[in-house]
This record gives sequence, structure tokens and C-alpha cells, in this order.
Amino acid sequence: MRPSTLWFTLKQGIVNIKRNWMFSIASILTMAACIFLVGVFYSIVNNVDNIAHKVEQEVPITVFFDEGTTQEQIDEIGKQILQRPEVEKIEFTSADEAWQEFKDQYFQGSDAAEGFRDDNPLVNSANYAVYMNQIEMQSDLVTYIEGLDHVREVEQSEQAANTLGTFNKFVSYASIIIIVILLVISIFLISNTVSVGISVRKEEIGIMKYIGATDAFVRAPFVLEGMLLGIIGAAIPLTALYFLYNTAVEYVLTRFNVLTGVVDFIPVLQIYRVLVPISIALGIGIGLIGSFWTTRKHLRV
Amino acid sequence: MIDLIDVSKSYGKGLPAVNHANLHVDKGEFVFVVGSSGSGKSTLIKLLMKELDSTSGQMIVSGERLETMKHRRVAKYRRKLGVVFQDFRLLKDRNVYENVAFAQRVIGRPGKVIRKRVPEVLQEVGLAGKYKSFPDELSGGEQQRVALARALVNRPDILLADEPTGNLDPKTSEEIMQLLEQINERGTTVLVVTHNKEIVNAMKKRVVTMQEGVIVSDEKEGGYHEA
Repeated sequence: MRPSTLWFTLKQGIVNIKRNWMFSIASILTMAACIFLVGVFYSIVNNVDNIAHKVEQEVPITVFFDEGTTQEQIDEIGKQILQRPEVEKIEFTSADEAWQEFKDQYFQGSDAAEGFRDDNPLVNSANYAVYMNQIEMQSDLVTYIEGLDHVREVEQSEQAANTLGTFNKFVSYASIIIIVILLVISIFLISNTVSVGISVRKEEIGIMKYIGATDAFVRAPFVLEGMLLGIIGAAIPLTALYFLYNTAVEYVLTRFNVLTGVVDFIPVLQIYRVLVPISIALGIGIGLIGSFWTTRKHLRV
Repeated sequence: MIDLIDVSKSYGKGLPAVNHANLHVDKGEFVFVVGSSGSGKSTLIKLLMKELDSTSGQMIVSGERLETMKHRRVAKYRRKLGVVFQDFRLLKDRNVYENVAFAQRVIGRPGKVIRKRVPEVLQEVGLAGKYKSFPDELSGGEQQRVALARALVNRPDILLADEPTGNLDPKTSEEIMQLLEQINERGTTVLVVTHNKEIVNAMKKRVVTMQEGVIVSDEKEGGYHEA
């Protein structure tokens, strides 16, 4: 396309938007709402996923041994676990250390534990805490450890991760439904805006066709109009989300300061690395589909 | 330049709007197509513009077979034609220059070519001094001149004029017809659909008469005969 033709097309697209500014604003706002929700849900899902991942990584798998397992055998089990690539590190806690920890935590220096002075009630609680670097391999690793000699029990920290996973699934499904509904409405509104533009410019389009304009040439300003509406519809929520995200994180951390240091929110720029291309593609996509579909229907002269 | 062989066009179950028409027009000819309302003149123009598809027959215009032409080829074909209408069909929100330049823009002519060609063609139709005026500021005759300039700016092989003097007074009609004659003298084939008896009789050009879709006469230096 020649620069002059491109400029002409661009100008026509902008003129269309200005002429039907009310429909254009309605399209932009619906699309902005749709993309805003995409952004909100994307941020929530990613953060919850991140927290779940962190919980999974920080809460280790605990390996207990059969009664009477010697220290050599325990060391051997440790070596075998460490050979696995998904294992980050292991920490050994002897039965005495386990009892000491228990006493510190629950008796807090009182005399109540004195009755067990020579008789460790946690004699079988020597264990390895296994920390992973590939949490998705957790069930494989558990199966592997359970198959080792002298291993009595393996405890894994699935519950918290599972709860967060279920919450994430719910948020994902709910967001998909809402986003699909808004997408359909956006496409419909863009189509409507473009239809109005076509009816306003019917005479001009007729003249263009008599003169020998190709379908693509006639269609281009309308498709461009749809895409411009899409880009504006994406830019508004992206800008709003940028500020709202930081404010929301700040609010959560201030309001629930117990979470500080426990929960890490993903930095907004990291979220935007994916969210910006997704939103722009979505905006342009909606604009393109809505306008292309409408012009196809109306422009065969 | 134009060859119609046994061409018919039916809209429904009634009589065909064009009925087994045969017409041959050479390059550089000036032809009037006359007839009363409903005689099929406008349908003939629409068939030539490929706005309508013929029901049967063969149409060859400027080397293109119209009845087999694919939709995507139509735009390129129309660039070989210039068309003017009774109601001028100008863009009211654009001035004279922009209306004419528009015809070049839609076929992707570069800005440099447009800036050179538009003043040339406005000069040809006698509107060089009015390029900044908007259609509403012009008389009917001037508006038709703008429409003619727009039709000519891309140097078409054929100029089709559908009742070009229908909205004009006799004096202005005469001026427009003189302009069409000049255009024809420069080599453009001109086909004018009209029922302006005075002009047809005065100009002594080839006259094709249609009646109920049928070409009933074709005279070399003919006149307008009431059916």
C-alpha cells in the first residue's frame, strides 16, 4: 500500500470514529471493561498460582523411617533422595531434635515435659525434610521415596497448594465465562458501530465502487476503525490496571500485615510482560473480527 | 470497444428489462441510447458497469468478458470506465478538488500524480477557478462538470453518461453535451443514455433506440423517434 493510500485510509478511519462518536465510545467502553476483567483475573490467577507454588516449595515433604533403622541406613536413604534432580536440599532431624522442638513449641520451658526425661515419646520421629526445585514432580518423588527400603511414611504438603489450586480453578472458570460474554458484546458493539459508519457513508462507498475501488480499499477504513477502537479499548484498562494493581497490593499488605514476608505479590511489570501483548492482541482481534465481519456483510456492491 | 451479443437481463418473471440486445460500438464512437422510461436504457448502463449480471448472452467491453468476470476483477474493470449520473453523485463534504482527487485516491494513484492531474482535468471541464468550492456552492451545470472531471481523471476508455442533462436547463444541457463531444474528440468512447429529444436531434450522432428492452433501431446520424 502506498503511503498516500495508507494516510487516506487512516484519515477515513479516524473520521468514521468521530462521526459516530457515541457508538465508538460505547464500543471502547465495553471492550475496555472486557480487557480490564481479563487483566484483573489474569493478575489474581497468577498471584494465587505464585503463592501456591511458593507454599509448595517452602513446605517440604517429610520422610519417616521404620523402627530400628540405623543411622547408616538413614544416611543411605538421604543419598538416594539427593540423587533425584528435582530435589533442592534435604534436612535431617533426629528423634531427639524432634522432641526438643516439640518441647520448645508446646511446653515452652514448663515442667510438664519432665515426666518424659529418659523416654523420648517421639522416638520414631527422625525424619528428612525434602525441599524441591520442581514442584510438579512432587507425586513422582513421593512414589520414589515410598519405594525405598526402611521408609515408613512420606508426608506431603498438598493441602494448602490444593486449596489455592481449587480457588484458582474457580476464578479461572468464572473469569472465562464473564470474559466470553463481554467479548461477544464487544464484537456486537463494534459491528454495530461499523454498520452505522457504513450506512452514513453509503453514498460515498457507492461512488468508490463505481470509480473502481477494490473491496479491500473500501473495507480498509472500517477495519482500521475497528482496530483503532480495539487499541484504545485496550490502552484504557491497561493504564488503569497499572495504577490499581500497585494500590491493591499496597492495600492488602497494609490491611493484612501478617502477610508481609509470607506472601509475595508478582511485580506489576512482570504481569504486564504478558498482559500488555494479550490485551492489545485482544483489542485488535475484537476490532478486526467485528469490523471485518460487518464490512463483508455490507460492502458487496 | 463494446460488443453485446444477444444479451438479456430479467429481474423476475415479467418481461426482460433487456431483451436479446445486440450492439457493437467502436473505439472513439459517440452513441446516444434513447427510449422512454422503462425501455431498458438504465439496465443497459448497469450491465455495462457490471453493477448487474446479464441473464444470458455475451458482453465484451474494453477487451473484458463481463458475463464470466469474477467479482474481484470488477474493480479493475471499472477503472476503464468513467461514469456520470443525472444526480451528479458528488461528495457534499468535499470541495471540487477533493471530489476529483478522490477518484485517483481510491485507485491508489500517488500524491504527486494527483496534484498534477486534477488541475489538468479541472481545466479541461472549465472549472479551474472553482477548485475550492463545495458542491452546494455550484450550479447544476458546474456540478455535472465536476462529475465529468471525476469520471475523466483516470483517463477511461469509455465514458458512460446516464441522463447527464436530466437535472439541467436547456442552455446548460447544451454546454454539457458540447463538453462530452470534446471529450469524445480526444479519443474517449462516449455512450450517453438520454431522453432529451432536442439535444439528440441537434447533435446528429449515432442513436440506438430501445423499446421494452429491445433495441428497435440503430441509426448512424439518427434522431430521436417517439416509440
